Amino acid sequence: MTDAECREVYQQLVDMLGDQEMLEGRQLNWVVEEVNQVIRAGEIIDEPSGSSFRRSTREFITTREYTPQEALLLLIDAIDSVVVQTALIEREVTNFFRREGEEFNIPPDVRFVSEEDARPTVLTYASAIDRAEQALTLKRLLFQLRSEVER
Amino acid sequence: MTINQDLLNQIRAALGSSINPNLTTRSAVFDLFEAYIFSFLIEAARSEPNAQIEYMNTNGAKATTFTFRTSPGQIFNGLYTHAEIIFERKRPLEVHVGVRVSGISKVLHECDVLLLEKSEAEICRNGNVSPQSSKAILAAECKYYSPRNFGIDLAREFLGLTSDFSSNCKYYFIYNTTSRSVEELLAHHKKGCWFRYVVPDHLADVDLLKSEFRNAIKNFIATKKYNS
Repeated sequence: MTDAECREVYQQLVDMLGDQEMLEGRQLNWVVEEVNQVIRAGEIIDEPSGSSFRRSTREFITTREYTPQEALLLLIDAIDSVVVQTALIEREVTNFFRREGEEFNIPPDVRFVSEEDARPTVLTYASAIDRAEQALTLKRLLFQLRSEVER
Repeated sequence: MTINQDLLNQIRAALGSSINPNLTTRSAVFDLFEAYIFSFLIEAARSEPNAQIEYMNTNGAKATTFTFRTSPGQIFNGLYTHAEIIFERKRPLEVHVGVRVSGISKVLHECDVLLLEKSEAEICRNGNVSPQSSKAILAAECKYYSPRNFGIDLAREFLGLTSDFSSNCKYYFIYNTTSRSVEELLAHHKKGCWFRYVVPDHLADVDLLKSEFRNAIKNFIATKKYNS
């Protein structure tokens, strides 16, 4: 994929993560912000030995800009982390509490509640297994996209 | 142009159906990750023969739901679930998610997952005070980042926290991805223990952490000062 194509695909993925209609009124813009922070900081590299410092015994490190390909791969990895891995963790966590619930006679739902707001976020195994299946499909597609970027 | 638009359309479709709308914020993903690590600690305890586990509420009653905090709070506040763990002839323990602990300096720190003596937890619930790190067996800072090579601010914070935690307490930095700067910093200072790639796709890394937790439990059981 050329630099220009990588930039365009990057932007399309950014648009998807901000698409409230697709995400039921929510957004994943924070993922893009985290990736952009990493891109702004640049990649840390060791100073190559062929530089003007080659006669020195001191070791130097510096940063370099990520290429458009590398930036796109960072975003693809971030989507894998936040969407695919999160869905798989949700399945594992809800499965764990489903088993614990059976043993201790506690309803298996996992609830997260803040001290200020009594409305809980409830996770259930039944919906988590469906989502994990979809996430595995997404994982395969992201793998394919990664291959096309690296080709 | 060789952009595979069909592939991107498929990704768009799969993305929408893979996301739990309740897990679209950074803090919600953190909460889930903490519950994931909590489950490892319970599994580690259960791997010991004759371990007794109960789920309890802050008010001392047996839990009727699995309810966890969305952000760190005081051990005595709210109606949240913790696990009580009893090993033969050892002082009982509790496992909590998202509670504040008092460091050596008496400054309060947030512990994403905490294993501590039940007697300390009871004193704190009865007296509306925070547990001391000297009474903790294990504490974990759990972080979930979307990109690899995330910044080192949290590693610096972790290093600061390790120096304010009692040496009685084993302190872990557990995260889902990798970062060269973070790992170089933590490896250089040789403080605390760090575990990266703790996600279902990296089974070997997950097993490393589970094994570490089992060792921590074994060490607790083998330590005479914790005899009941």
